[in-house]
Amino acid sequence: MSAFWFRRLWQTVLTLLTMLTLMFFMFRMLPGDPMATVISPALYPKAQETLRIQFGLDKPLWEQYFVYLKNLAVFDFGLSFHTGRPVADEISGRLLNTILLVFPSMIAAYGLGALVGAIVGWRRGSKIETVLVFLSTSLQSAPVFWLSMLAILFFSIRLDLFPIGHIVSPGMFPEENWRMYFSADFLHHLALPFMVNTLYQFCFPFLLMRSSILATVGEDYIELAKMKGLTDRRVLYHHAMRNSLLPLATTLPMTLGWAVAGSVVIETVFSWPGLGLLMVEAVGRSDYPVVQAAFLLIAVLTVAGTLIADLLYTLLDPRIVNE
Amino acid sequence: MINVEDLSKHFVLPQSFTAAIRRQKAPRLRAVDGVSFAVEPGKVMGLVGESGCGKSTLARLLVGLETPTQGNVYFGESNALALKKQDRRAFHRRVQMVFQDPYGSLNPQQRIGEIVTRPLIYQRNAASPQEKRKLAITALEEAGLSPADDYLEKFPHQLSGGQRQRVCIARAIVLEPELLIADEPISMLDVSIKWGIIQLLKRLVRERGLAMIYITHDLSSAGSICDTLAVMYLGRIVEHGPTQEVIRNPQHPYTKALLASTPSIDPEFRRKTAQIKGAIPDAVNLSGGCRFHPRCPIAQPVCARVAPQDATQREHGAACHFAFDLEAKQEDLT
Amino acid sequence: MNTLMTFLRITWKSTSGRISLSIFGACLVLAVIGPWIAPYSPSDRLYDDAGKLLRLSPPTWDNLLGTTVLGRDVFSQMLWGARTAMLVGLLTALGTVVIGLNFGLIAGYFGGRIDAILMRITDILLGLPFLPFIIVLLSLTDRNIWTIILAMTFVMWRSTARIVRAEVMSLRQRQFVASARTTGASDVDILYREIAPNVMPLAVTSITFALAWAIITEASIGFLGFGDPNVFSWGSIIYDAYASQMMYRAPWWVVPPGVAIMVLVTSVYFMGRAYEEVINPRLQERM
Repeated sequence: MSAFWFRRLWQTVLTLLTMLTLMFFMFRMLPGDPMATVISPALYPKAQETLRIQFGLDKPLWEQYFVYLKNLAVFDFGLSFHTGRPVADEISGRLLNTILLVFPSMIAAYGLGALVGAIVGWRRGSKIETVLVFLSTSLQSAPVFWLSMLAILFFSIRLDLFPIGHIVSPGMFPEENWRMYFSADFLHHLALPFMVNTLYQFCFPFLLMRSSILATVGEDYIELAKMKGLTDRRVLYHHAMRNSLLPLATTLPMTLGWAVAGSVVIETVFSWPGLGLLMVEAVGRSDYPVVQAAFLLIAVLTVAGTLIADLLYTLLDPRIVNE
Repeated sequence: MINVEDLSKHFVLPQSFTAAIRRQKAPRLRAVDGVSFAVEPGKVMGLVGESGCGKSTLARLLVGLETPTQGNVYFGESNALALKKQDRRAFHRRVQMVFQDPYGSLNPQQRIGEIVTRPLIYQRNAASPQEKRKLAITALEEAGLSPADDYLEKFPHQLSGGQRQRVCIARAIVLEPELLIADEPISMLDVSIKWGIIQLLKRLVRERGLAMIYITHDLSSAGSICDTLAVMYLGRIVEHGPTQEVIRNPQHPYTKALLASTPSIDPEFRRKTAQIKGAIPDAVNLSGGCRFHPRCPIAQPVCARVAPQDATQREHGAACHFAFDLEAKQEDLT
Repeated sequence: MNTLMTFLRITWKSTSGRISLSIFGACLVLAVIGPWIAPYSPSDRLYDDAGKLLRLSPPTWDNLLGTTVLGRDVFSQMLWGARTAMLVGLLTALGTVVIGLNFGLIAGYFGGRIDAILMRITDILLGLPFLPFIIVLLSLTDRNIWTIILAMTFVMWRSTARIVRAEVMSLRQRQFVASARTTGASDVDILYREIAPNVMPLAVTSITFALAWAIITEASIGFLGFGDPNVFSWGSIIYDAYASQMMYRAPWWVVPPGVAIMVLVTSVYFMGRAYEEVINPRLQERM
C-alpha cells in the first residue's frame, strides 16, 4: 500500500519538477531577449536593474534556476508586466473559478454518461441508440468554443435566459470576495457554461459505458443473474453496470486532464475569469510572468486532479495497489 | 555428431530486500543442471519428462533462446560453437526448432510464402528473391505441402493445425539445419494427423541425415520415433540408453514410474511397479544426494547423502545407486 | 501503403464507413484543389457595383456564404481553411504515429531500463496540459502552422506510444517471436518485420484519433487567436467573427466553419470506428 503511494507521489513530484524545469528553459532559451520574458521592457531602466538583481538574472543560468525554484516555493511569480502587481495576487482567485467551472460539470457528465450509456447499451439495436451514438460523436467532433457560441446565440441572445458571459453581473460584487460564490447571480452565470461543458464531456463516458455494457452481454455472470430470475433492470444496475463502472473510472484522470486543459477555450468564450482566460489574455499582452504562473497552476491542477482520481480509484478497487 | 557438454541454466530468483542486506546468496532455480549427451546425424534422441523437469528450458538453450549458465554445444570434432552472442546467427542456422503450438508459432500477419522465406532473409542469405522463393517451395513440398503454389499466398488462419505444423517444419528445414529440435510437435494436433507428422519427421531425419531431439512427456510416442531415450527429472538426465533397452528394461525408479503411468504399456508391469508419491518438487531448494529420493519408492539413507553417477556415461545408464543390480544392492543395504 | 489499402478496404465494407470515407475524401479533394476553385482571394475586400464595401452581406449567388465584416468572401476562406485543416491534421497524425509507434515498439520490446525511461517521459507528457502548453510554446515562438504541427506532435505521441507498448509487451511473449529468433532474426528484424505488422491496426486506429484531435486543436488555436496570421483556418474564421462582435448578426459567418469542422471530425471518428469494429473481433462478435 505505502509503496504504491510512495511511487505515485514520487511520480507526481517528478512530473511537476520536470514541467517547472521545462518552463524555466523554454522562457529563457527561446529566441529573443531572455530578460524580456522575465522583466517588463516597459519599466524604467533603474527598476529593471533592481528586478534583474532580485531575480538573479546577472548570474549564471544554473544559479538563476535555483532562484527560480526558491521563488516558486514561496509563490513569488514576479510582477505582472501589465498591472505591475505581484502575479500571485492576480492569480489567487482564478484557480477556484476554474475548479468551479470544470469539476462539477465533469462529475455531472460522468454520472449522466454512465447512466445513459448503460441504458442505451442494454437496449442495443434500438433506434434511440443509433441516434444518440451519432449525436454524441458529432458533439464530440464539434469545437467546444463553437458550441458555446451557438449556445450563447440561442439561449442568451434569442431567448435571453442566461447572461452572455462573466462570472457575476458587473458591479454586483466589486470586492470579488467569497460571498459572490453563494449568490444566485453566480449560479445564473455558471449555468450556461456548465451545461455546454457537461454536454461536451458527456460523449466520452457515454460511448465508453455503452460499449462496455455491450461487451458484458452474454458474459456468464450476466446469464447467471438472468437465470436467477432477477428483473431486467436489476441485472443491469446491480450486475452489468457495476462491472463496467470500473473501466469507466480508470479514464477519469485522463479526461479530467483534458477538461482542465480545455477550459482555456470555454473560459475565453464565456469570459469566465479562470486560469485559462487569464493565460490567454496574458499571452495576448506578452505578460510572460502571468503566462508562466497560469500555465504552472493549470499543470498543477491537472496533475492534482489525476492524483485525486487515482486515489478514488484505488478506494473503489484495492487490487490496483498490489499490481 | 552433436555433443552437448555439461549444459546448465540457473535462473536467479528475485530476493527479498532483507535477505539482500544480509548478503545471502540469491536463491537459484536450477532448471537445467549439468546435462551432457550426444546425438548422431540420422538419429533421433527422445527427451522425456514431466512438465517442469527442465526439458523445455533445455530445448530453449539448444536453439539459443536462452544463454546457458555454463556448458557448451559442439558440432563435430573441431567445430565448437559457443552459445554466446558472437556466432549466434551461424548457430541458429545449424539448429532449428519445431514448436508445440502450430497456432502461435506462425505470425498471423504473414503469408505462408513469407513465413518460409523469412529465415533466409534473417540469415542474410545472398540468394536472389526468386532463388529464395524456390528454396521455400522445395521446403514446403518436402514438408508435404504440395503443390506449394496452393499455400504460398495463404495466411496461417486459413490452414488446419496439421498443415500449420508442416509449415513450421518447412520453415525449420529451409535453412538446412544439422540438428532439429521438436518440442512436443504433435501434442496439440488431432489424433488423425499425428501419425503423418511423425512419419514426416522420421523421413526428414533419414533422408537429410539430420540429428533430431524429440521432446515429449509421453513415453509411448517417443518409443515409436526415437533411437535413444533420455529421461529427465529436475534438470538432470536420470536415465539414458537405446529406446528398446530403456522401455523393456528400465533401471531408474523414476523411469519405471513414468512407464507405469503410460497406458499402452503392459498392465502386468504397471501393477507390479510401485507408484511414486507426491508432486514434482521445485528446483530451487534442492537437498544433497539424489534428486529423486524424496519421492523414490526404494530410497535408502545413502540416497539423501550421495549423488548418484552420471547416467550418460554408459551405453545404457541410470543415475541411481541401485541401477542394474538393484536386488543385490538392496539386500546389502538392508 | 499496404496498411492504407487494407484500411480503405475494411472501412468501405460498412455503410457508416463508406459514408464517412466519402466525406473525408471529398474534404481531401477540396483541400487540394480548393484554392484554385475559390471564387475570390480570401483576403480580398469586395465591393458592390456602387463601389460600396460588401460588409456582412448575407449569402448570395456571388458570395455563397456571404461576406465578413471586412467584406471578404466567407466561402473562399472556407476553401483555404480546408487545406489548413487537412495539412495540419494529416501531418500531425503522421508525426504522432511515427514517433509513438517507434517509442512504443522499443519500450515494449526491450523493457527494463529503456522502458522505464520512456514511460516516465510519457507520464510527464500526460501531465502536461495539452492546449495551454501549445499556447505557451506559440507565445514564445513564431506563430506559423509548422510550429503548431511540431508542438502538437511533441505532446500527442504519448498516447500512441502507450497503446503500442502495451500491445508489444503481449506480442513479444508470443511463440512466433521465439520462432523468428531461432531462425537467426536480430532484434531489429523481430521488431520491424515480425511485431510491427501486428500493431499496425492499433496504429491506424490511433492515427484516426490523432487526426481528429489535431483538427480540433488547430481550430481551437486559431479561435484563441494564436494561429498562423498568414493562413486561413476554420478556427481563425470563427475567431475573426467572434472578435468583430458581429457574429450574432451574421450566422453565415460563424456557422459554416463550425459545421465543417464537425462534419470532418465526425467522419474521421466514424472511419476509425468502422475499421475498429472489423479489426477487434470481440466487439464485432457482440454487435
